[in-house]
Amino acid sequence: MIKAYIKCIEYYLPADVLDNTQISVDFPDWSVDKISAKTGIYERHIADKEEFTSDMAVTVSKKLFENNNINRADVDFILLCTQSPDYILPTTACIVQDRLGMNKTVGALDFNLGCSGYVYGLALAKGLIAARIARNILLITSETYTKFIHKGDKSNRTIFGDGASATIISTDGICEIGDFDLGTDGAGAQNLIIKNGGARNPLREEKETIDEYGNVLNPSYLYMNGPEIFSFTSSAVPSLIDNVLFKNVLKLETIDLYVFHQANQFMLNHLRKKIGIDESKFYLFLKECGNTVSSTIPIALKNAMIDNRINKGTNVLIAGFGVGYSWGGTVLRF
Amino acid sequence: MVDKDLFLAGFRDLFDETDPQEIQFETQYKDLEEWSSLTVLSLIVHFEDNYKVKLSPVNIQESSTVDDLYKLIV
Repeated sequence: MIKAYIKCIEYYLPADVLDNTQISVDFPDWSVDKISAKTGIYERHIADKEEFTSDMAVTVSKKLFENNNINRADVDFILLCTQSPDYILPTTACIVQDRLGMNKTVGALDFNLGCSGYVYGLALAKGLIAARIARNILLITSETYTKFIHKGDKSNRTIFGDGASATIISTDGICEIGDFDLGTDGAGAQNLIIKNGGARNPLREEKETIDEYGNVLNPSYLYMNGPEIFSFTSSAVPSLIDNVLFKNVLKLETIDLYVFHQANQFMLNHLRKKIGIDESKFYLFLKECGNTVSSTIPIALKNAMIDNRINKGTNVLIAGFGVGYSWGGTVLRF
Repeated sequence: MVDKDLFLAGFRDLFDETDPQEIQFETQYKDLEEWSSLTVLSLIVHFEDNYKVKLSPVNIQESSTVDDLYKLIV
């Protein structure tokens, strides 16, 4: 079987910043120190009013081509992961192909996943390479969740930020993509959802309510049942890690670095302790961008490379989990 | 069998700003000003780490006093 590798990764964060001072002005019972201590997040980037998923996807792809000497004519497939597409249709990946001036011979598709999206994107790309359908795949994650977050929803405004990433997956590169463990449990669909705007519930004006924690709830905006999501990850992620290690014939201690979906610091610390991962092997990158959904793993990977936490010979285990519920993990061998 | 006073002390520790004396067995914990979804997460972890009890968010929703929570571990 042809092996699949990551060749390069870049990411992009929008210019506007929402910091903890601003959040504590909007929600006076949330002090700046408390927000940073509990979530590990100091600021989030917010897409401009006129900046959308395709814009961020184009920006980050151009950055990837320029910084890594990639000839865009060599790319033969675009995979774009988003839950905030510019339109219901057409496919955002098609818009991106045109705006990047890429070959009309490329395959292009969007796939709708959140926090597990980057891992699934790598799995799809590896499959395309193994089946000789494509040789150079541009995997983009691009998400403008903040456009779906109600101004009065303290919890979600604190956690989420916008961002995008671009990765080239090819027949050679800096790290080999290992074997995958993937999972799904749609029974949790209602716990992280935007109810309105699809065919079932078109967008409409609805009465807002306040939940027991003081967050404004509106079915046209993002809803997250934090405790239920926490409970799900606490049960699903430890066995995900076991399975990824087993499939890659590795042990907990033979992994050099763990890069999990950067949900929030509280949840990550809990998972790390529960699984028994040494703190020195657990990478955190939340401070400057918060939870950017499908982009957290590539953003963290890029920064771990810049920080010299990833070098030749490093085994990195990546794991994504969240909305769906959906989860997945693999090992990257540098 | 978990000592009742220790249980109460452990529960009080989940709060940073609330006066411990404000939290008693009959306290309706969801009425505490500091109660938040993050407290719920801390409570789930606290039960798992200290009492080996897997508390679900529904358990917490359905209980109302600190004593109700204590009954979940005895």
